[in-house]
Formats: sequence, C-alpha cells, structure tokens
Amino acid sequence: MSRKLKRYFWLILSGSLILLVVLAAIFASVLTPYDPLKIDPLRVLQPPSAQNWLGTDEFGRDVFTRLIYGAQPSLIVAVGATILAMGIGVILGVLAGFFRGWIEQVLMRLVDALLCFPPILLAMVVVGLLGPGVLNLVIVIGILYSTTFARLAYASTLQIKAMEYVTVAVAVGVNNRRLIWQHILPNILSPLIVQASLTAAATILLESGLSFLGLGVVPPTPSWGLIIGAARNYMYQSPMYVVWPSLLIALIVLAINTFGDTLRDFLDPRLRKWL
Amino acid sequence: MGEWGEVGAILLSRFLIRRLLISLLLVLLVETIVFSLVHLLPGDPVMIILGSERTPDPKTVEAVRVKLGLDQPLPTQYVRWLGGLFQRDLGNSLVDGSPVWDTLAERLPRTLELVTVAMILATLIGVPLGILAALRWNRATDRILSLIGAIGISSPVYVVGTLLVLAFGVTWRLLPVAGYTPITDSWVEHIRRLTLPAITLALGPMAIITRMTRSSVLEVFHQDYVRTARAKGLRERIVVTRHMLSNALIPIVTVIGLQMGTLIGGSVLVEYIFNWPGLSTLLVTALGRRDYPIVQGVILTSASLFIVFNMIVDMLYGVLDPRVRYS
Repeated sequence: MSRKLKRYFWLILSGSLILLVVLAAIFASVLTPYDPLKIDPLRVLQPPSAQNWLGTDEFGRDVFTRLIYGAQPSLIVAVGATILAMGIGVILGVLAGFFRGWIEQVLMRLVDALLCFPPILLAMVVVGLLGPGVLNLVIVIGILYSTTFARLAYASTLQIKAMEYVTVAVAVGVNNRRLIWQHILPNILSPLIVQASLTAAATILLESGLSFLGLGVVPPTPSWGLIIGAARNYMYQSPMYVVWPSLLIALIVLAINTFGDTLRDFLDPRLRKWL
Repeated sequence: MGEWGEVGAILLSRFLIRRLLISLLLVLLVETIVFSLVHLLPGDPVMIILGSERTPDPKTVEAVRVKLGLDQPLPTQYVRWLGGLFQRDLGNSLVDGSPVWDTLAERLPRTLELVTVAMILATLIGVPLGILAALRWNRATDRILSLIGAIGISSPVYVVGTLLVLAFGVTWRLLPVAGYTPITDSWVEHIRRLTLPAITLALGPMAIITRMTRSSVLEVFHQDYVRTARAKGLRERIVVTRHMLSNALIPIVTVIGLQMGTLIGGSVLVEYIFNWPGLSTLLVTALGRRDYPIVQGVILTSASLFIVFNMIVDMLYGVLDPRVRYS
C-alpha cells in the first residue's frame, strides 16, 4: 500500500509541477506587472531584488517575467509538435501494421530512413533554410518525432491483429474501418500516451536547443533557449542570470519525464517490479 | 562441436552480409532524402554566389547556373551527384570554392574524437555505477544514483555545458572555456580544451548507461544459474563479473552503440558552446551563409555515421547473442 502511495506521490508531484508551469504561462500577464519586451536602459543586469525577483537582463527587462512568458512558445511547440507527431505516426504505423504488404514496406522503410538522421541536425537544416518561427518548429519537430510513434503503433498493431478477438471480428465480417477504430486503436492507446509525454519532454529540449542556436523562436519574443543563449554572454557580470533559466528547463523536463515514467508503470504492470 | 561451429559461422556470415546490404540501402535512401531536401527547399544557390544585394545580370546568372550544372534537369543532377560520391566529390563550397570533401575530412576526426572520448568516459563511469546501484538495490545509494541519473537525462546538453563553463571557466578559472588546439601543437593544451566538452557530452549517455546496466544486472540477479554459482560457494566478485555481467552485457552494449548515434546529434550544441571546430560548427556557419553543398555534406556524413554505428551494434549483437542470427 505504501508503495502504491509513493507511486501516486511522484505522479501527483510531477503532474502539479507541469500544471503550475502551464498555468503560469497562460496567466503570465496577471502574474507579473512587467512587460516582457519593454527595454529599460537604466536598469540593466540588476541583481535579484524585491521588485525584480530574479534580477534584470541585458536590456533591463525583468528575468522572472521573461521566464514565465518564455514558457509560452516552448509549451505551444511541445503540445503542437507532439499532437502532430502522434497523428502522423499513428496513421502510418496502423496502416503499415494493418494492411502489411507493400504499404508496410514503403512506410516502414521511410521511417527507418528518417530515423537515421539525428533529429537536431535535420531540424537545423529545415528551420535554417525555411526560416525560424513557432509554426515551422511545430511542423519540423512533429514530422521528425512521428517516427517513434509510427514504430510503436506498428508493433502494437501487429500484436493486436494476431489476437483471437480480431480474428473473430474478421470472421463475422466486421469491415476494416470498424476494425481499426473499435478494435485496434483503443487497444494500442496506452503505450502511445506514455510515448506522447516522453516526446513532449524531448520536444522542449529540441525546441530550446534550436532557439539557443538562434534557429528557433525569433527574438525579442522570450523563449527559454533564447534566454540562456543571451545570458551566456553576461556570465562574468551576472552569473545567476544564466542559472535561473537553466534550472527551470531542467526541472520541467525532469517533471515531464517522471510523469511519463510513472504513468508507464501504471499502464504496464510488468515493468513495475524493479522500480 | 566442429560441425555446429561451421553452421554457426555460416549463419553468422549470412547475418552479417544481410545487415551490410540493409545498411547500404539505407545510406542510399538517406542520400536521396538529403538531395531532395536541399533541392526542394527555397533559396537559389546562384544568387548566393553572386551576392543578393544587387540585381545581377541575367547572362552572368545563366553562366554560373551552367557552370554549377544547375541547368540540368533534377534527375540528371541527382545521378551526377550520386556518381560524384564514389569519386570523393561532394561539390565545392559556394562561399570559398574549396572542395567539400576536404573540409569534411578535416572536420570529421575532431567530432569523432569528441564523441569517442565522451563515450569512453560515459561507459567507464556509467557501467560501474549501474552495477553498484543494482547491488545496493532499493537502498540509499541506489536512490541517490537514480535521482542523479534522472537529472542527468533531463538536463539539456547546452544547459550542462553552460553551467560547466560558468563553474570551471568563469568562477574557478581552472580550464579554458572554448577553442581548439591541434594535438601536434601541444597535447596538454589539447586535452585541457577537450575536457569540458567531453564531460558535457558524456553526462547524458552516462546516466542512460547507468540505468540500463542497473536494470539488466537486476534482470539476471535472480536467475537460477546465479543462485547456483552462489550455492557452489563462489566468491561474490566472481559471481558478479563472470556470471552476472557476461549475461547482462548484451543490452548494455546495445545501449552504448545507440548512444554513439545520439551523441552525433548531441555534439551539435556542445561544439557550438565550446567553439570546437568539428562538423556541427561547420554546419551552423554553413547554414548562416546558405552554403548548400557543405550543408548537404555534413548531413550526409552524420547520417552515414549513424547508420554505421547502428550496423556495428547489430553485428555485435549477433556475435554476442547467437539467437539473433537465426531470426
């Protein structure tokens, strides 16, 4: 019983942390009196104080304000890209696993080939050539991470399709569309949901990495990667300026990963024993 | 023994050849994707060569286009590009006209050095830590290692790198924060400049290797042959190294190989932070200048490396675990 409680504890703790960041991003304008973009040349690189909890940046903007506004693009990209990846991946994977034959060969070899590229490299090239921005990031990252979903959906579909109840459904003349919607999809959902939360974490890492390189969110819009990239240049004058966004991003990714891992333990009892 | 050894060898060689063919096919597919990607995206290389400020003379534009072979239909260009690969010809840089192949040949060893050193570090520290965690299962040591591992996996490389620079370079001034010294100039300076980027790159895979080692050692922990070995009165050290590790090795080797591939991606940000003149810094500058042939070359090299690493892992897998060869 205490073990179960402990599992709930981590799920609830990581879940509330994620919720906190999401709420902070949504209600950013209520939470802070400052404008994330307004430049104040008289208050540049101030240390933390009662007015500026985490100090100010190189343009005199409040760092705390920039951080909570900076969550917006990261979360939009994370949610958008994950949904897109899941949509594309599940369609490809289920089609390949359900119809087999040449569809399977074409789709899965395409997925294999996409998996050969380190995601960040391909994302850099496409964003670098198409231009940065939130929408481009969502599309590129969504397509890149659809491969994992495709593989997962493919493997689960094969597994489910071999089950007796599917054979029976085919025998009594259930049509393909109904088979996929009513028998396959509901049964492959739980690993996909776990994968979605892990992908969201990976997406935040990738988006912030690209923004850090200057290939993601366009300044002056605040974004965590951009803030760290800018703060790096002022490490001598104001070392804590770079520490805050670094801690924040590590913490939120840790929370999402923990959430995904504990969720998996709940959904897949076989994995529980060693955790 | 003799007969079975022969059958095994034949199966193994068939397995290796098939794996090699699959890899070659993948490389070809990847090359096609790279080619189409660069040619389908907007942006005209001719305008980049001529400079985009003024509207250039149409005749000059046409001349450059012919010179670069861009007047040919796409399939012809594709075949020509593919043929060039076999003659170590990946085209020339649009910016300074130097052969892309030579630039890559100069940059690649530096990236490989960084990735290899990071991987060795990660393995040398990760595997023992994983064994330790497994042997102290569910006790304080295990808990602490798990927590550190979770933090390691969740911290982006550029955050780790930036914080290491802040600590070792800015605050304590122990190590240089960026740059590269050829080993022929001074090997001490070379290693000093390699230290921080290698550690930065190593942390993520180290955490993953620790985790994998822990769970695969735990997996064999309760197997009958381990209990038998203990019951025979073998010393704990022998039980751990001979009986447990040799069987836990397969998943560990796999994860190490897969991480080699991931590290090529991770090295992008690390090279950028520490100004390490490898493939990735080349890619960042080439993207800024829209130097397509270089971009094409870097992506192709990285993807091929990735495929080669995966192939090696699969082959090792076949060698370590005879069951794989039959499938």
